Amino acid sequence: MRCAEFEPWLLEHAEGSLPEEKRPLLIAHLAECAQCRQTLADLQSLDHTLSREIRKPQLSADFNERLWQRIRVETGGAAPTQLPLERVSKVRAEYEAGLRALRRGKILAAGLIDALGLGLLVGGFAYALYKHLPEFLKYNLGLREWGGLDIPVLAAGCAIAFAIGVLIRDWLKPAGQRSLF
Amino acid sequence: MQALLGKLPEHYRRVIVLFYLEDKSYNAVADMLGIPLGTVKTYLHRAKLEFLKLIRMEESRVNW
Repeated sequence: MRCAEFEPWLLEHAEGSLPEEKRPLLIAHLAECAQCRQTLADLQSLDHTLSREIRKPQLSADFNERLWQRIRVETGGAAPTQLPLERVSKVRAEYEAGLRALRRGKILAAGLIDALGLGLLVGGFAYALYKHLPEFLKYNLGLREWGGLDIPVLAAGCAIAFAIGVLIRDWLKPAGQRSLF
Repeated sequence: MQALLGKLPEHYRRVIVLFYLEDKSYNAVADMLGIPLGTVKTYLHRAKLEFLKLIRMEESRVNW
């Protein structure tokens, strides 16, 4: 066997877990190989060193107090998490105002889009009514005349429907989110 | 020693730390890392050999 093949045996021997039947062969090899003897000695020493030197740091009893004291000194007397109250209030007010403005803009845009859609729907329906109802009434129900809508009336209807849509859309929102009421 | 430990591959370092720092048994380390017992032994053995190499390199660097 070569030295490299004895390496696992050396590790087990250093731990005291090498099977009995392997021991004589290893001992015989160690008797004639200075390099493996040195490796075994190093492994045994390493085991002690690791046990001794790899350990949890021991903190002194007043560690926390000294740490906070140092933080206070380095931050000019105030702990980093303790911001002045006025500053906190100011930042909060700015944040909330910005949020409100953003929300108002979004709500207004959404309301306008909704109202536009509603206006188009109502206008389209009115236009279809204007164009086809007279013929429908005339040919299917026997009515000869239908004097009714014209373009200005249709436009006014759409505008009114649009305005009503905006108002309804806004009115349906929770009190804090309304932009018109 | 801590600096040399930092040079070991992560999986070797974990086994070394659990075994020596936390004083866990092979079985406990295997359970904690979710790896077979044989793998723990192999990692620990290879980690020790790697450690020896690092120590020898460090010694030769200092002596040189």
